[in-house]
Amino acid sequence: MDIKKTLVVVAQAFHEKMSALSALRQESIGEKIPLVTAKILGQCALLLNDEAREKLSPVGTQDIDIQFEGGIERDILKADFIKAGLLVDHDSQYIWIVPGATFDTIFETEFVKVEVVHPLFNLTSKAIKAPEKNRELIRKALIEYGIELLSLIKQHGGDVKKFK
Amino acid sequence: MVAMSKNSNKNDKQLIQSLRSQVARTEEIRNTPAVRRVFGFLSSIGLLRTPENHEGRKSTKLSLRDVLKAGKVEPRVFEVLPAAMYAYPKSFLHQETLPEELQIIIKALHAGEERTTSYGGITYKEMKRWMHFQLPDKRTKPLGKKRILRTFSLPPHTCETISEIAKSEGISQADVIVRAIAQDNH
Repeated sequence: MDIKKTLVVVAQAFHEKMSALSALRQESIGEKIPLVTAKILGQCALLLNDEAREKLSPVGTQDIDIQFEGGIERDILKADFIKAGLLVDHDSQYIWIVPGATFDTIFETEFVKVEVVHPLFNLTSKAIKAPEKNRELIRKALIEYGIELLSLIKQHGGDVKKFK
Repeated sequence: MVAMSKNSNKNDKQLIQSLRSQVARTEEIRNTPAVRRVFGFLSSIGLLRTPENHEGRKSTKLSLRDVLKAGKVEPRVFEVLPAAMYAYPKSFLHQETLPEELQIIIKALHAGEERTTSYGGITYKEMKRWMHFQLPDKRTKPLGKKRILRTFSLPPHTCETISEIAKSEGISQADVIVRAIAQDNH
């Protein structure tokens, strides 16, 4: 499955759905449907980033970590992703995102935004929250991303000695 | 303060430098044909996602010694190994080479038990998730869905009835019996 293509196709269909609903809501109660954001995290986010894929050759399991933001419509988007065959991990909501993390947008409209966490912040989160599982990945990432990554890990309380 | 900061920068650079040889060794292992075959197999059966096109086919036989090597460079191999061994038991050779701790975990997972242990940075819960995952090859069944072979002696007219129902409804004779029992227990 082409994950990026599936994300975009589903988001596009969701936009069309919300566009119609929002027009009705605007007519009846004068309110638009708020933006729903899907933040792609974890190993899939590394696989979706060209630079990270090239530098780190990340290996992932079939699930995809997505955190959703927005109104109740976010549950509709989540259900749409699952219906399209994406194995959305329900524990994604517990993933810690580095404060100030930046994201690369892969799809954006008035009603829906799909974005992928930047590798540096993704790797920092992994280094701090799951160092044993990601030891070899972080070691390689420290070579590729250097001081910038190491500083981020230290800045957020990570123990870089774990990767020696 | 400036001196401490300069020292810290120097230490950081030394740390990164010291990782180079370790990372080079890991990459060497990762790129061996044996480890690539492990990634290829797990990718071809739909449990792992890799950016490269690893050589691997479902018909591959893997030595668990090589699987252990692959797991050391990429722990996610351990995460999906129990599910892979459950779905394709004949694909894995030299089971005695698995560490006892991992053998116990795999046995518990295959029996559907609950545990709170972990291995190689992967929790039991993470491994258990894949035991219930339907692989793309629908001939494989996840935990709890695998059928168990049974042999029964039935009266001839019962056998005929089962056969007729199966034929008229386009289902297997086993499914006729499964359905009848499910209805009986409803």
